[in-house]
Amino acid sequence: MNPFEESIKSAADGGLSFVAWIVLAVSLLCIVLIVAILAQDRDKIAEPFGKWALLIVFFVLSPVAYLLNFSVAIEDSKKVEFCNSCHVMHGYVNDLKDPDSEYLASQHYQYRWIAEDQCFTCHSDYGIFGNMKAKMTGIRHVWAYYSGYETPVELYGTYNNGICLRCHAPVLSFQEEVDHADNAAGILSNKMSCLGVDCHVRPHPEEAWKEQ
Amino acid sequence: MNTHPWIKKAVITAGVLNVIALLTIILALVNFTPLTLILSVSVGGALMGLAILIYIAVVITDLRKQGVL
Repeated sequence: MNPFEESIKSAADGGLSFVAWIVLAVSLLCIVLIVAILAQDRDKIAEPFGKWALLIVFFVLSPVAYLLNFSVAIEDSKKVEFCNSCHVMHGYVNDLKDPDSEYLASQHYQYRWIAEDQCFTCHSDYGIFGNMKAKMTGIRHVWAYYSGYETPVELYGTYNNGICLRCHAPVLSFQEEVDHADNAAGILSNKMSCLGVDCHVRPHPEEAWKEQ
Repeated sequence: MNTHPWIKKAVITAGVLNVIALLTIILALVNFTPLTLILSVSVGGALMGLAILIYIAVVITDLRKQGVL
């Protein structure tokens, strides 16, 4: 492994974020306080210190830990490595990282056309509720992963061109491309897919789901 | 707070539920996978919510006995 790859790997394995450390510290503090008050001396529940300590633990510290953990989870679940933690995604992510791959997703990853969170960026719909919808779909995926799913793995519908366009549409060279200009209505209305035989190559290998 | 047996039991139950909820959060932090994420957000959240509700009931009972409410 060359030094650049090592530096990227060590940065990616940097452990817990600052917020995650706060969540961990607050959670441990809550557990220690609860155990100290309830297990050691049950009568302490009735004492002012016990009352106030539990009140703060239940109404302030625990909800703070939960909400901060929620935000950490939202951010961390955007990472490519998180997607790759399900076996069915290994083939897709391996291709993403294959320097010889010419598939569209791999090109975006290899050249860092998308700087980070590449899976999430291309698989969350454009719009204010896009991220939330992606998360809800993710929960469905986790359920399907453990309860069983049909193969080959496919998108729920057709790929939304709007996801491509949020980056490409403002680019002048994209706008001036004859094929884009001629088919603007079809591209914008999603009646014509950016991906396919006539336009751009497939994003992932067709049989990537088989590699687990 | 009144030390009536049911109140003690309720506080202990709330405490145990909260500790379990917090452990699911710690598990998700230490071993972040789709399963631990769902566990911490859904099961952890539900247990923590239940613990808070139980403790609210205890606090209201205590305040009523003291004549505050």
